Amino acid sequence: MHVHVTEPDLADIVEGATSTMLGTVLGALAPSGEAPSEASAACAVGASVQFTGEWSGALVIGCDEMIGNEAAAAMFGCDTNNVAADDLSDALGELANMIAGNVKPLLPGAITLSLPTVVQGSELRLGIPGAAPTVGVTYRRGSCVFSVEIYERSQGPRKQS
Amino acid sequence: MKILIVDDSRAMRTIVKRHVAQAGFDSAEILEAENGRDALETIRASTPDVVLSDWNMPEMTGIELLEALRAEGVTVPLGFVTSESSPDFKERAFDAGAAFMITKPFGAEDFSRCLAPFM
Repeated sequence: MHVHVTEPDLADIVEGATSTMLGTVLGALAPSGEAPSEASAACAVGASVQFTGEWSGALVIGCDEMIGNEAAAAMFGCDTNNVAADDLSDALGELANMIAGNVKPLLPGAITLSLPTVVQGSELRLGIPGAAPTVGVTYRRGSCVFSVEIYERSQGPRKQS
Repeated sequence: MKILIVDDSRAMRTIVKRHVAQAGFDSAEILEAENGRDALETIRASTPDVVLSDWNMPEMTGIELLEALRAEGVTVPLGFVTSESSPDFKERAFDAGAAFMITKPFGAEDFSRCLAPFM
């Protein structure tokens, strides 16, 4: 079974989740048309949620520190200069969880979501070992970037019975 | 009026608190728990009037919390605030006795509609 989530499907989910939960923070970002892998060098925070079950893969979001701090500040109702590293991880993990939960009904079969995993660093190379990117969206505001991508794991050849 | 918010994400607990206040329940006493097990202890000790619980959490999930409460004979209304919106999850939640489900992303009007019957 292959994922049938289209780029417009994913964009609708991402923009709906971010505009509702983060207000105008990401509203100033514009779709860039880049593949998320092209933009990941600008990312300082990455969050992933695994899909397991009849279909297997992951959802990965990435952003630079400025966008991450703005998202966390919007969630916590604090100043962007007062976002602790733990709060940044918490906020981005929750954002990944929310987007993944809304993608899940578009995926085939019974699927379970994992708890989110978050990494922070610089020039992150976001990806999922053993899985290939299938669809993604990237948004930019100047040098700031926010991306979301769905990966699909190879199911391997089926045994003939 | 006491409302217990159960979520492993402090960011989400903060957002839910804000939306509950915006929905007109700003005078409610808000209790917080980080997972189902923590919530179970809080409910036994503090008897909230309504529980707003996430579904996916470490230690004990939201549905395990609901099942544990009902097994103990605790009838506190529990509604899920979750990104899990699949029909099978909704069916499992309501079969277990959930009072309502609010799907993330949500607005203050969702809390107004779902909490009003218990206020």
